[in-house]
Amino acid sequence: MSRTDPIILLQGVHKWFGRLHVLRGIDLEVWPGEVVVVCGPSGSGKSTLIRCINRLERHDRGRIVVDGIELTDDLRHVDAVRREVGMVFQQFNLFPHLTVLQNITLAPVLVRKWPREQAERVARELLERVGIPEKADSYPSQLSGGQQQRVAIARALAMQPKIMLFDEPTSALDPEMIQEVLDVMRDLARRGMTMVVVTHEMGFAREVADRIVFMDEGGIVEVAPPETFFTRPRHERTRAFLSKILR
Amino acid sequence: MRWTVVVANLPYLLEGLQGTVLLGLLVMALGTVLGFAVGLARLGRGLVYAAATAFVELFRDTPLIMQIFFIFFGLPAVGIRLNAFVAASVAMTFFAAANTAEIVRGAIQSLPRGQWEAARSLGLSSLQTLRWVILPQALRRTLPPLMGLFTTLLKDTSLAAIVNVFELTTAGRRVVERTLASFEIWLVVAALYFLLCYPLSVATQRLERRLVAEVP
Repeated sequence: MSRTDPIILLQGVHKWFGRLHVLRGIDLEVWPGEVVVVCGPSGSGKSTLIRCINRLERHDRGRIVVDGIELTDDLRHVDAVRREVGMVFQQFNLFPHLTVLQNITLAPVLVRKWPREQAERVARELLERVGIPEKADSYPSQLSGGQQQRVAIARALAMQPKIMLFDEPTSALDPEMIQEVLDVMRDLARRGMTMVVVTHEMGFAREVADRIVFMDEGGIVEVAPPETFFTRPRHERTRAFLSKILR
Repeated sequence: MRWTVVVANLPYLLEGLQGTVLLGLLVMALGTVLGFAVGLARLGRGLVYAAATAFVELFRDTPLIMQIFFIFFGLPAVGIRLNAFVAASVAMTFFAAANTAEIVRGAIQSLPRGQWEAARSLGLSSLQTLRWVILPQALRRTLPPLMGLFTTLLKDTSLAAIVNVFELTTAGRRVVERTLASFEIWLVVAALYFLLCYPLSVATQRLERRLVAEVP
């Protein structure tokens, strides 16, 4: 793959839930090292879009190519993509029966076939990086929401993904815990991780995003760098959304 | 009241009790193994799912006593002759398995979908997800209902008496026929069942409370 190829490519992607047309012809390219923030009103399809990128949802029409691999019904392709794409969920989705360390080492040991010592060493480094090295032997239920989400980020990073997807990572958090999670994401962006982030945190978007994608009713309305997006939005619907969300 | 009859026949009744325990344990063991297989098959698709579902519905929606009758009295018509103990064991094992399968399926489906999604997004296969993420959590949820089922099964072994399997109820009936001491003998038989099932029932409630208290 040459430097000029997008690491994520969506072409004419459509998705229906029954009769509900949730994605209506999405075209999007994400470049290596880029941070793309996806925003829009609830029900606009932004979560569905991001979940199509690692095929938690199956798209019905169009093409999705991730890191040179096209997502089809071929499960080997799906597994290959999932190994390279980490995901962080709104509800954390940590495994409650495993300790923090076991949560993080599970996939590297089972999927990457790393020896346990190597997986644990990497896990401890990642816990250091997200600021909670002392929680290695705790269970998820013993952590605050912010700590759980940081573990979830460390768990995804342990697979050494090329791309990280964030699906409203701070929406389930108490306000005082949002910053600690955004700090970790900011650090990740600085290190050059390719990130696609669905979020309502416009401060984060303004500061970290290379481009902001605004979605409404299953389509992409506007794509712009943050400066342009916040100061000179081209579309009426974008302006209406921004006036509601930035008060 | 003729309690001497009870004393004289107690060893015989205890022999019957052995039959009850043997049949009960056998059915619990086989039913659990088969039930887990069927319950997991219900998560599958196509023919596997259809066969498992048919099995579950068939044995949950007909009376156990009919199943015993059919296997013992009905199957010889198509050349399958089983002795009474085997026939009762087979019927009860299927009955136990169908109910266990529902318990297993229910426990698995009660877990949040996010558990599957998180595991799959990390690259785990569906089997790895089942083995390392789903089953460890689902298993503890199956324990209380499974023990409840065991209690029911233990009592239902008495149905085997109608095809003359030697167990506690059959032993009681034979003693009553011989001595006519209905009141004393049936009272003692009931007490023996109670002594068997009550501890299991109490243990189930304790376990339930403990599992609720320590959701990890």
